Amino acid sequence: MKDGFRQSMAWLHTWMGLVLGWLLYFMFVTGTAGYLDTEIDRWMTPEAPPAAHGVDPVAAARHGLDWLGREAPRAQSWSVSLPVDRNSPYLRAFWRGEDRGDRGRAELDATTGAPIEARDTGGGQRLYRMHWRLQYLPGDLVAWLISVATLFMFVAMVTGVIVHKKIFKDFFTFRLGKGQRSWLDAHNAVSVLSLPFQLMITYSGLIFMMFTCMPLFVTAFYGGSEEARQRFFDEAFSGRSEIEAAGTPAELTDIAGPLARAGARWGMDGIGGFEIDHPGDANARINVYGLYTAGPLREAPGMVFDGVSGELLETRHAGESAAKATRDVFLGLHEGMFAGPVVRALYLFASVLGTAMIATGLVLWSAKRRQNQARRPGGVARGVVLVERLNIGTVVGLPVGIAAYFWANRLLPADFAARADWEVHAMFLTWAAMLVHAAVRPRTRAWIEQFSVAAAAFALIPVLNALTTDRHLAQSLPAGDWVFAGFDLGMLVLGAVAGLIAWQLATRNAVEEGAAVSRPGRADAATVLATDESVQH
Amino acid sequence: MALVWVLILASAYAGFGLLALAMERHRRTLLPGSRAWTAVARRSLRCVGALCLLVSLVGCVVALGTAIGVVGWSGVLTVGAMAVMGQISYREAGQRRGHGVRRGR
Repeated sequence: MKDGFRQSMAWLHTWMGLVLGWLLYFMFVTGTAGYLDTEIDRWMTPEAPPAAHGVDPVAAARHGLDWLGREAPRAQSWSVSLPVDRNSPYLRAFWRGEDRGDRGRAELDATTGAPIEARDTGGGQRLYRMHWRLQYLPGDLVAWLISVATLFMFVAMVTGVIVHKKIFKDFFTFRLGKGQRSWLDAHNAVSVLSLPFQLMITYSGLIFMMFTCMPLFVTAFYGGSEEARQRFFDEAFSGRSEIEAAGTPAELTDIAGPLARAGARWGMDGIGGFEIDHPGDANARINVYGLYTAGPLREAPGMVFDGVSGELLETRHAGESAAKATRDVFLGLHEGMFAGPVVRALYLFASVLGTAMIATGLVLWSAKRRQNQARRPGGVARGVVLVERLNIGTVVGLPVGIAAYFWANRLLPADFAARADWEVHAMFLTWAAMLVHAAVRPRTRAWIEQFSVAAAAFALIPVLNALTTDRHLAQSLPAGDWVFAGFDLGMLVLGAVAGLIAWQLATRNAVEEGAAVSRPGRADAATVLATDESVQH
Repeated sequence: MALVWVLILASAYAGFGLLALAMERHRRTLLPGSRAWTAVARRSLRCVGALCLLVSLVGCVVALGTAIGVVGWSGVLTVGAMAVMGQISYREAGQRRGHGVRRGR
């Protein structure tokens, strides 16, 4: 009975992991990049100045309001976010009008108030957006796709723990050079050793999708229409007092007053920014909020002021509702916006392991089947070949696509129409090309060639950066510009790793081919990637 | 601050190292030629190992506060365990080569 249970769990693990495995890989890769979103933003806008933290919040707020007053004096709402930490490198101003599409935003120099001009780029934000919004697909479909994939991931994780018979005995085990066994060891090691992170990230990912997965909770209390849903979200999440404009103009109070009130409670460096509803109206409201990134609880305290008299109307604490706070902690843990340099590095490491977990799982699936089927009269099943090709073209092809995204950022002319969109197109066109390449080349050659391409694509990015900007390593290292230096060095490391793998595979392949000639009868499964070149031909 | 992180990572690494050392298979890899542990020795290794992991938790809480400290600690555990695992498999591969066993067999 016990074995029967374990076997059925193994089946579930195998197929849940495979079916949406490539989508999960995409989500893990872009999600990993998301932990460095503002750093990537910065690299992709080399014209922009370094982040300016520690500016006087009142002066910065006035600069934001000046810009908004010039750009959109009649807007329905204004919003200013202050440059407080890594997550908000610049002073940002944003306005919204009556109509849905009526809006505008700018990033401003916090000391001078001048708008920051930079090339049109998707940056790290666009890359991170793909993590949950994918690309080229309608939003409703994506929401379901992501939800189902996350659910599969969660099932695969729990069943994975169940089917792993020797989770403690094999805790430190990684036997090199043993073919399929090594892949299993690698898959187990990266999964088990980073299990806390993987469980957290998947479960919290599901919580992100809770209103997609379980829409009836909202429907039961608010009704099923689109407006009803919107009303629920407004009530549950906006935290702003809904008040109509009076229609009589009135002068806005000096922002220094509300900021000083809020600063007295949270500290001046604890102010994240503020929103103003109906600026210039008698019913103006100023909503000052604190930091969303102070800890894992992704919610900020708030204070609402009368926009004309400056009187404090309402104070809101973070975590007032236990249910919402529970959700906010999970979302906060998922996004890791509170993480400083060390914890961010740990997040990055764990999510790289998560990416490796998916990749090794996918390769293991095909390696196992190829080994079992290689000696069959009919040869390897077509489904296995398909999975192998998708594995090559995705596991290596997708990162190469992301390298192309960075290349496009530097190579597309500044006045190129829809420049930011074409960065993304370059990424997906490259990925498609890698998939085609994986489909037409012999399997082992395809792995070697793709890793070689990846090595060149990443390792040459610092060179490209040096040729197209002044912020190359020779400048960024002496200047201590760690975002630029770190990005370039990171690309070199990625290129080196890919190159090392390509070189290893090529050497091993040469050895295997030699062995196959001397012992033609033996179907050796010593190395998964380099085995059956002889079977295939 | 940097010193605290060195201490945190070192104690996580030491903790997992001792736990691995208490396991028969890894003892043979890490200390070739040593004799099998007595039950008391094995239990002490495990206790001290667990204690080291606890020290790294305390370090994280001191460095980051309770809420973020626990988050950071789970990442520290991953790094520590990966380091020990990497060392063991590197040793194993070296010993196999040393005994004239070809890689990939």
